[in-house]
Amino acid sequence: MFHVKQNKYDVIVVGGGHAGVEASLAAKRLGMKILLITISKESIARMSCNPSIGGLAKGHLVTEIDALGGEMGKAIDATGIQFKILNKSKGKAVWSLRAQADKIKYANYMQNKLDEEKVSILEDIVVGVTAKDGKITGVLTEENGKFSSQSVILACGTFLNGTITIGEDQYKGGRLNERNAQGLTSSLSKLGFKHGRLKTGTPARLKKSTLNLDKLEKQYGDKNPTPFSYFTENFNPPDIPCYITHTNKETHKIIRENLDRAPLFTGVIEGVGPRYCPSIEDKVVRFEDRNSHHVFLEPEWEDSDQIYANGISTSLPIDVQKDYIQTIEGLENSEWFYPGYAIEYDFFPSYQIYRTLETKSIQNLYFAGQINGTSGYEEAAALGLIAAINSYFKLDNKAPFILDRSNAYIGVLIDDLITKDPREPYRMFTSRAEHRLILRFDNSDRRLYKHSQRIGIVPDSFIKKVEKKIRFLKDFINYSKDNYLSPDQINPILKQNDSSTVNNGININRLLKRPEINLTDIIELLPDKYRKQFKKHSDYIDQAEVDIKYEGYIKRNQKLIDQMKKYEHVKIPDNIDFSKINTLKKECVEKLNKIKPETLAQASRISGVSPSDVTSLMIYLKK
Amino acid sequence: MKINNDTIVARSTAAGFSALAVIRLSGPKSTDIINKISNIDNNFQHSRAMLTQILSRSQTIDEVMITFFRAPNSYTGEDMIEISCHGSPVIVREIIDLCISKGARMAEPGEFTKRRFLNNKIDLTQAEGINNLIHSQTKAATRSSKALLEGEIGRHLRYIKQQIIDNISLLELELDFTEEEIEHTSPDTIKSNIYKIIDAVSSLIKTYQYGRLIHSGLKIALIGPPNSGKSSLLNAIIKEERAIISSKAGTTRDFIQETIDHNGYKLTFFDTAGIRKPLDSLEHKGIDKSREIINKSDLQLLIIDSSQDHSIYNEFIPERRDNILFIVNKIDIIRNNQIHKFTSKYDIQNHIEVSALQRTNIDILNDKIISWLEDKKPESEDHIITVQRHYNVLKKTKQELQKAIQSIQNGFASEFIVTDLRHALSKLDEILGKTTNDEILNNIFSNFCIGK
Repeated sequence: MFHVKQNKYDVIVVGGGHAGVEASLAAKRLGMKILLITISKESIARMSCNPSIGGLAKGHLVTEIDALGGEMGKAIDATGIQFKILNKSKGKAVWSLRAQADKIKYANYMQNKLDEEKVSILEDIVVGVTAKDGKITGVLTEENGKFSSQSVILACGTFLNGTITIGEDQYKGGRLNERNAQGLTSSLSKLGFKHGRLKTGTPARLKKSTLNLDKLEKQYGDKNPTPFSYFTENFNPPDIPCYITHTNKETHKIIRENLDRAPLFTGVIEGVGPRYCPSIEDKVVRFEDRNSHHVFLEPEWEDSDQIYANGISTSLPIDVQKDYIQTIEGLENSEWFYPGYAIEYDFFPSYQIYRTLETKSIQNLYFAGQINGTSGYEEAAALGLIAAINSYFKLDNKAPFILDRSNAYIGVLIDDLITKDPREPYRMFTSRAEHRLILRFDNSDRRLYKHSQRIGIVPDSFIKKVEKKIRFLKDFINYSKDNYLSPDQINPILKQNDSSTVNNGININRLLKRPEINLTDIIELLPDKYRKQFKKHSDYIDQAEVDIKYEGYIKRNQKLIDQMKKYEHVKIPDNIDFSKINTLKKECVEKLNKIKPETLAQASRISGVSPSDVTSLMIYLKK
Repeated sequence: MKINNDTIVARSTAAGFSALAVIRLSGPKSTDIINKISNIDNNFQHSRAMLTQILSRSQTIDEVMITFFRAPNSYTGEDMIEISCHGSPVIVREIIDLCISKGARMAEPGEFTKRRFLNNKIDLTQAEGINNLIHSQTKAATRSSKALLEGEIGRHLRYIKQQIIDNISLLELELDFTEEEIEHTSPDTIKSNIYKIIDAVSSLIKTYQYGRLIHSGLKIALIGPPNSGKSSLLNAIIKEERAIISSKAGTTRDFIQETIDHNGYKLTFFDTAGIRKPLDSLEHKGIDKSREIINKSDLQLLIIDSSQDHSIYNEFIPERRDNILFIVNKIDIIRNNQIHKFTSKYDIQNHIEVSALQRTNIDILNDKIISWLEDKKPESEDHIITVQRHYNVLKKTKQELQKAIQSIQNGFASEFIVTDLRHALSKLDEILGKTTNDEILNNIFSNFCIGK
């Protein structure tokens, strides 16, 4: 135990999950005096649910975190056991990277990182925050009393008044067999914060040695895996398979027969769960015409005997779980380490925070991760990082750090949080990003390097590398517009690719706009300086190709961004009373007064605020 | 710009002589103004008609009925007063002037409805419906506006919008939930879905040709060489119809415009100046004007005097004949074989024989005009586009949908097709209100089993 009581900190991070870890590392790297308070050191960076990082849209978040100086990408590159690019049959904008994680190694990696960087860690439970004159002054802990600090980042995940439900049984807990955090919710309520209750669930962890995996379909990762991090070199991860099996009529019959014992339907569970991640009983009820659902069996770590049964999360009673699991092919004789369960926890609806993640009512208090109603390790990590950066800039009297929707998925995430009143845990999807053709997972470095430079966590060499790439791409694209290939050179290649041949020289840029022609097809025909660079940096090829092929779409998207920029820059004063604007309808006034958008653009994105409301608002602001 | 802080006044019944007229006042000062110009003595009761006198410098101008509507329960959503007075234009003018002198402002055309819209009593589609209602002077247009107001067209547009959302959902499903156990829709299916949407949009677009005609009325140009009888025909038409809506006399060198109501359709006739008259400068202007009218007209009536030298008609016979009716005039004095010679020379299949002088067959002519118009009537009268903004938006929507088809044909990946469809959606949203990403996700979650 540290003797840290007398110290005054720049920032205290509460919670050692994925948000807390990123927040702590970023704060430390920015030179802040930081204290991380966690219930248990050994569960820092633990993956409570599925053993994977990334996936659709989430993979984008990871590369953005990486480009801004976060740790998640490096950690999963170092400890992942299977890597795969999803959506490879689609265009590059929606490709996304996903990795199976080794849960033990991943958590160890992060814990070692915190040690290496000498982040002070205290094992204790925060039971309240202290504030004076609308400004945070520190936290109260259960065992060690009061700690003062200039700012506080709350990243307490599912631990706030966490309640675990399995069938008829309910326990208090933040994860199975881990205690929850009480007191903090009421402390925040006393300061005027509103809270709600959400639910999430997790499936049983099965014993691999009791499963019959031989007859099941195996799923491997990519042959040539791609790392998440721009800093990862010599990438050569293992490729450990997952297995696929299915529920069947018998499974569904057992579930249906026991719905009267399902806490989800008997009213025991009140929190709202995510519709994109329903429990198996929910799927069986809502889609009753389906006789089968996928179950992915995912190893939780390398050489692990513990298998995560993805697709059958549940809160049904233990005996029911056992029965229906054993109807599934390959799982007939299965035993488990522990059953599936649901967890309900307190969250603080995110209209109570600014874009900086600072709370609107208490200065220097930040909310990061699931406390805002998000779900997912990646969403949490992104929010942890941004909270730390903003707490640093604020104490340093610098302009806040804001990413907008056209910069990054992180910008979309935060903007969605503060303009919505989420009813279910918020998860990122590519369809949430209206500028997704620009926000690709592989160009986070190009999109964000200027921001990274301002933050100053990433080394200069990274910035230089990105600048070099951008210069090269610009140069090559100009070259492609000004230069031609002769019919002799190109026709054999065109024939090979079933593309119509040409009689005259063809412009390289126009040639590459043909869907069936790729840059690699013509790479040998390019001058040395381009060919060599492309061969050295395979990402240059991808980027150049996308920039050329989809130029029209990208330009059009840019136009929309520019149009919206006008609204993004119209600030709405903090003290505005929307009910004074008599042309707004009542529902709209209520929403605006609750969410208190910071800009006109944000106001326009609030559901129930119509374009004519935005016009009225604009007129009012101009008066 | 200020909204709704001032009080506006206007006559709300049609202009001209009538037994009674209604004047409307709307805005915060309405009651103040009436207190100052009547003996009502602040005794306002919501929605109750009260008898009072309008006074100017203690002199009674008129005895009127006043009905007060308290905000927000009024047409505009503001404090509003309706003054029902005698219909003399002089009295109406005097009362309005009096209101203005006490602080009201003359309302701009459509401003009451605009305020109704700004105060969120109605949405944009409804506002446009009311706007049409106010401006339509004929029965057919009234029917179409009512359909708009009651949301018939709104419903149909929302149906089209839902089709677009459904297809976006199918594609988004594939993009965002690739790991799910869901069968993805083939590009061919999406393509034929989009074609169906384009068809629906196109047929709606086509209705505007008719919708515009019944809403703003049919513009008919009378053309033909001098002395073919254009002016006499116009006179005959006017005399035949008792319901003349307006009459605008120009000089002989300018043009004459007459509007009549025939079976509930508004028909406006333009008598063009003779094109072959000597070219002094004023005359020149007249010719430019007549070309302009011909270009702007929906239908042309070519007046034919087949006793004239046929060759002077060469320039009047257009290549496309879908917007022209051939009127053979002077049948009282011209022989049949002469007419036949003319019609076979120019290969005219259907012509109408009239005598402007004797007023023979004028009713047949009018009926022909109406049947020309009704031929354009779409199958369902509930789905007629009458507002130009809707028409423009639909045209843009169609363009975006066609882009999506092109993207599919170019073999582009789904995210690009989705981008095109989202552009199409955002065009429709200009009339129907925005669609949020959450609505699309909701559509996906409620129709597909997501969740591995």
